[in-house]
Amino acid sequence: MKYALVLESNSETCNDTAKLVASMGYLVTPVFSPKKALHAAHMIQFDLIVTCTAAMPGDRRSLTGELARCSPDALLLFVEGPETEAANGQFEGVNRIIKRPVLAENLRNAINDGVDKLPPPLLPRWLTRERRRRAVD
Amino acid sequence: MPTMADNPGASPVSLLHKLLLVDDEADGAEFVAALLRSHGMAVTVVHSASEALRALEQEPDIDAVLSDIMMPGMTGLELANAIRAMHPAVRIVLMSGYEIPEPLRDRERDYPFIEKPYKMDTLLAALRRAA
Repeated sequence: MKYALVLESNSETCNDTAKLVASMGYLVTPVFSPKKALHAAHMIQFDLIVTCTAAMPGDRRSLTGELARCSPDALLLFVEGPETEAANGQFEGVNRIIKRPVLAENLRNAINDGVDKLPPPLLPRWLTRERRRRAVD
Repeated sequence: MPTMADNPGASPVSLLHKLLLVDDEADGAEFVAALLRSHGMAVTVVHSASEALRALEQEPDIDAVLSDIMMPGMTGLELANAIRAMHPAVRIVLMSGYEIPEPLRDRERDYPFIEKPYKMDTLLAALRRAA
C-alpha cells in the first residue's frame, strides 16, 4: 500500500485531486493548509506528495523543502497555477511540476515518470532532534 | 472523505480489534488514525496519558496502544508501564520524534519503538511485533 499527501487550499479542488490520486492506488491524506501538511508529514513518511504551494505563511522556510526532508523517498509533485508560475519552477525538493487543472493523464504520467526517474535525495536529512525543532506548531 | 474509505486492498493487523492512539499533537494523531481506520482498525484517539488510562477503563475492547513518548505530564513510557501493570494483555508501541533521553533508552527496549515520521508499513509491523 502506498500513501499520499495532497495539499490544496481549495477544499473542492483538494477533494478532486485526492480522488484522482486515490484512483491510482494511494491512500490519501488530504489537507487544506501548509501547517496541516507539515503536521501530517511530521508523523508519516509519504510515498507521494502533491502540493499547490511551496510557501508557508509567516515562515521563511520552504514548505516543499520541509516536506521532502520529512519524506525523503517521496515523489513530490507541485501543481502550478497562474499565481505560482513566476517562481519559474524553482522549488526546493520538487521532483515534477504539473499544470492546472490536474488531469488524470497528467498526474499518472508525472507519477510514472517521476517514480522511474526519482533521483536519490539531495537534501540533507536532519537529525531527529533538529527536524522536530524546526517543526511548525 | 471518500479517499480514505473503501480500501479493499488494505490488510488489518492480525488479531487487532481496537487501537488506542495517544499523542498530544492532535492533527498528526487524527491523520494517522484515519489511515489506520482505512486498514480496517477501530481507533480511539486521546491526547494525554490520563485520558488514555480512562479510555482503557471505559473501552475494554482496546487491545493495543500506540503512544507518543514526549507528552506533558505523564510520559508515554510511564503510561506504557502503567498499562502493562493494569492491562497486561494490551499490546504497546511507543513512538517519538525526539531523541530519546539516555535514561529511557534501556527501558524503551521493553516496547517496540518507532521514530516519527514513520512509514505506515513500519507502524503496522511494529503493532504486529508487539503481540
